Amino acid sequence: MKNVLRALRAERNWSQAELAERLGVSRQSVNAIETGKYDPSLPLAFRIARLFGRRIEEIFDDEAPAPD
Amino acid sequence: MIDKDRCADMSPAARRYARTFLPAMLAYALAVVALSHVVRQLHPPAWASIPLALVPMAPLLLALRAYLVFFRAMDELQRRIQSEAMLIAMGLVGFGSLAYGFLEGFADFPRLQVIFVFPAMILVWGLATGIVARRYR
Repeated sequence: MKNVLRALRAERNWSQAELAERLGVSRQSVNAIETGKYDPSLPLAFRIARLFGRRIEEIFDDEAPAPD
Repeated sequence: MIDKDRCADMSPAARRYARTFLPAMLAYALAVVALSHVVRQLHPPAWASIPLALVPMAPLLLALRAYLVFFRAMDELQRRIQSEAMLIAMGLVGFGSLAYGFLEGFADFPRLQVIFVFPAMILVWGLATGIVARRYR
């Protein structure tokens, strides 16, 4: 899933390790999410959204076509 | 022997795991050596052989408990990697031992001791963990 997590992290000048610590996950998980290799669970997605003060849909994009 | 810089990079859960798992494995190794000595040198009576033979299992159970505590402290991606690696190990070693059992029974392959199955599973699990983890880099 595409996401803007890396850009949001860069705005705050946080390293992946710092972001991982704030989210309570490993740096490996942060890297995997940023590169689109891993889609976070809903609770983790909510934690990410709350940390950055954004809605989940503003951070993650599953690229599904909009319903007619 | 212990790299203190590396320890500092480890999460609290990983440090706790190392503190509980490593002594349990050391106790297991010592138990195996002691058991071997007792059996070969002291020739215990038959009634004592079963409980004595199972003595190394006690520290192994502690090691298993240490791992379970560590697993529960992992984040979701780490758990997914570990679970998938375990599934691969169980499948490969399970199917492999079953296949070898048929070969032993019907193709006269040499008998292998069952004691090697668990170490084989641990080995494959370790290798599979590295392979599965690479998918997420």
